[in-house]
Amino acid sequence: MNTKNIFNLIRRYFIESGRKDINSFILIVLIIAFLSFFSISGRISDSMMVFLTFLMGIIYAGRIFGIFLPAGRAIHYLTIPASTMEKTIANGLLIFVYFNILLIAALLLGNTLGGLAHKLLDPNYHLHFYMPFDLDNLILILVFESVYMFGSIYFKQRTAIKTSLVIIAVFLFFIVLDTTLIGRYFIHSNPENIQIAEETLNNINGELIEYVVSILTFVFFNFMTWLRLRETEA
Amino acid sequence: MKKPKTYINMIQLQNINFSYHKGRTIFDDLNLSLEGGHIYGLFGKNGAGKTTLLKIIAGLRFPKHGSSTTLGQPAALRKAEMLKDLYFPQEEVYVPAISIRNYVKCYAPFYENFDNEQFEEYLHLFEITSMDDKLTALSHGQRKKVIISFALATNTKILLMDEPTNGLDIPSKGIFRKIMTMAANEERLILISTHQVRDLHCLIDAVVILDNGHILLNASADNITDKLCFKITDDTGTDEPILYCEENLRGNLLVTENIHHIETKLDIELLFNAVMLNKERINELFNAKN
Amino acid sequence: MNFNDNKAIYLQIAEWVFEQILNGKWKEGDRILSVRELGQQLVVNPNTVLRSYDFLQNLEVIVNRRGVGYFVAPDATDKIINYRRKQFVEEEVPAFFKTMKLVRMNWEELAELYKES
Repeated sequence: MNTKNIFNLIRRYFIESGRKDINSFILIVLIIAFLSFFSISGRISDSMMVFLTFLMGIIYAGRIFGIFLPAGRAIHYLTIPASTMEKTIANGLLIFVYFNILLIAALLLGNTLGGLAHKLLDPNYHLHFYMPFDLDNLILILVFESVYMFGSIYFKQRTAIKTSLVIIAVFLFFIVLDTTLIGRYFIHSNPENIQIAEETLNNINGELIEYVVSILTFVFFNFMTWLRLRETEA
Repeated sequence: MKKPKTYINMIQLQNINFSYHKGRTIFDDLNLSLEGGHIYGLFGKNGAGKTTLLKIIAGLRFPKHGSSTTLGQPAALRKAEMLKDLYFPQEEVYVPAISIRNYVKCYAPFYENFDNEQFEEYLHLFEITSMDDKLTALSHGQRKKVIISFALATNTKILLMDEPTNGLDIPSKGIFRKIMTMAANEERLILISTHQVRDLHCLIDAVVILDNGHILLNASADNITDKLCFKITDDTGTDEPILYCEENLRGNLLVTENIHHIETKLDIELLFNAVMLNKERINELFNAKN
Repeated sequence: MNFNDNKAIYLQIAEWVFEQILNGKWKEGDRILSVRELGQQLVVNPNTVLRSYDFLQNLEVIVNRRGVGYFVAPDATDKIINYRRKQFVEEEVPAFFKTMKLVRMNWEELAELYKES
């Protein structure tokens, strides 16, 4: 692996798409400033900020490869002299580090500008700065972005929508599995099992499992992205 | 001329089998070795698989069986070391929505031997003057000139070109030939796939003919003119076995076996027709010794 | 340069070189274009030019000084005339005589034409 190749890939991204990102950044700042200015509290809610980050993160991740349209783009991208690993890492850095920082900065800046404007109208309004993100929702955002990054190389077009459909299908499958199979054959077959299940749930460290599962999911989808890119023909 | 070992078998395909998912077989036990220092012309009928062959060499398509080695690396791995010594301008070139200047900024750093002076000279010869024009705002032919100029200026060891003259206007075709003679050197392997035989006039020094899933002929121009005669004659009276004959205003265009060891000028079109008509005899003439 | 249809290109290039030397554009002892330069000028594959130069070297019309380049041989003009003379006698003269006989032309008529030319 060659860090120079990763650097060149990221540099290439900024030359080709950097201007678009600056425009989007300005647009987001203005919209958020506008919304927070007119909101009663002088700022958009934390959950709204998290939701926006989440939504835009998966849309961005879903477009990161985008090599299948227009025709010829796949050959162009696949023959850029960098290894599959270097290309995967470069795109990962763009989504997980660059984009998230850019987006969070835009949301905070928009909110602050909106708040400052609000203060002009209402001198009693108290401007406050704080990060609306905690570790949990940042991890969740990263996990989902890794899934959508995989979607962007797995599907040829409308990757974010298709990835969403697959995720919904997987959740539905687990809900059905949970309510029918486990419910019917495990819990109901023997009332004692209910107690066993409850005890098990109480004994395990739910938070730790959540982190472990999140990290594994993140690593798994990054690996799958690499594998899929390796196997992509053009 | 002795060549260092690294130039031999820069491209090597062994026992390649390939078919698209639903389609017919494209290649059936295909073998091909190409060496540096030559401009190869790759010819074949429509659908013979010329583009697919280039893609397998570039690691963009994976054969079902057999091995495809490019610059000593398994092509399908698409390693950075292989890709930085290979350029593959397509028939319909893809360009990002940036200026020529920025294209160079973006992609030149990936190629150690990129020569900006050469690039500007090629663009100048093609009469592309502004480096600040957006590539997507250029016509198809103009885009192609930029990408071909860039490809040659990267000085990669391998250059795969798919119908490079398609879409170029008449003067540009002449300039293309000139630029190709400037870019050719004793190390570089240039493989040009095309139907535009006249555009390669005097440019290629080796011929590869693809037919029915196999390589029918892979021979240098010298080897071909050593074994075959290409002539225009009024009388058909010749003691040499005639492989192909075509009537023309100037007389009969003939391809015969070269019994009297007279060296004539290779005519690719006549050669192609002669090869298609006499597959077995051609195979005997060219592959018997190998 | 326009190549005619029948003759091998490397021979046509050699003839072009003969002309450059015979009409004095390239002088005896001068350094001549490299293989690459001539390839570019004539728009011909460099390997074809190389073959031409090998051929010209065998005729001792040009000489290769390793690491320096190709030069017109000191007695290139004589060599060319010898080669052309041989070619004329072996290839062109028989055909010429054949045509003479065909159109029933005799020596005196030919001598007359020669004087006029």
